[in-house]
Amino acid sequence: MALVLLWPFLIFILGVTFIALVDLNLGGWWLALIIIGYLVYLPFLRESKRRGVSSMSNTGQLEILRQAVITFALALLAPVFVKYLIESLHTSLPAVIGGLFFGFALVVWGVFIRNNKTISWGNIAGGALTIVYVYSQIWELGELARVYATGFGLAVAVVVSVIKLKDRLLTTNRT
Amino acid sequence: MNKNDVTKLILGLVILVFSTTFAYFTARYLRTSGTFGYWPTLTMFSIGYILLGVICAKIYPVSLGFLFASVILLLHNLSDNFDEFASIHKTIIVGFALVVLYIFAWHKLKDPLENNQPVQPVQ
Repeated sequence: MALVLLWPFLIFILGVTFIALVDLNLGGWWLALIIIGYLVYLPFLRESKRRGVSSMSNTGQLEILRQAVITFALALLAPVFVKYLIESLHTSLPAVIGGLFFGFALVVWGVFIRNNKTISWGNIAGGALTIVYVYSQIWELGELARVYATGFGLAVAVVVSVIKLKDRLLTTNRT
Repeated sequence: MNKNDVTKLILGLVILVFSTTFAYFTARYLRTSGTFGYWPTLTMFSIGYILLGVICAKIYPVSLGFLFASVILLLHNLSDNFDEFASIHKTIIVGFALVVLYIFAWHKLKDPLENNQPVQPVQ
């Protein structure tokens, strides 16, 4: 199926994202208008930055717009998904811990994925928002839960940092 | 944009407008006569339009006209009724959207080859 036929689906996903945000009282339709305006303006912004190098075709602008829409939808739908999941499981501890794992998994996937900036940025932003939301839920579950949550977060941050820095050190040593 | 493209655009818009209004007028008529509910009618119309859009996939104006009409109907339906859905249904809807987005991004939005070259170390 041609790529052009995916536009209705992308617009539908964008609409679902805004409906979910309005449902969660995270912004009215004015926010939707601002974000849509930014997404439409983004290709022209990139064009102005590239001015003097080469002009971008209409297909290239559509490609940038498509990537921006998907990154934005991934970043916002991930925390919305976790919020609905936790709500449907009545904010139980396993659900919150599952949400925490999901958020960290998204961030780690976004940090380490290669060749796909769309998923990378979407995952990092979506994972970060998910973690912030889940930590706000954990805060209400007592002090022990806070200790576990912060310890887990620290462990993940250290492991990711060590792996990333080790990779960089190996690259430097080869030179 | 040549004359052929303008014709396609106009025909696509005409199909979009007429299919949307046809669905709304039919739903309103069925609700008034008590035959069928308003939102179920719109949902059935949107499913039908999606099927038509997929069947006519090679004729872009017709396909896009029907698909965008179904998007309008579905989004209107969701925006009016989303807060009445149970959380598990909302989770399924958002989860389905996420999975499809990931599949599409994974297969179709890989970075161009020039970005895949290894980074040269700074001297």
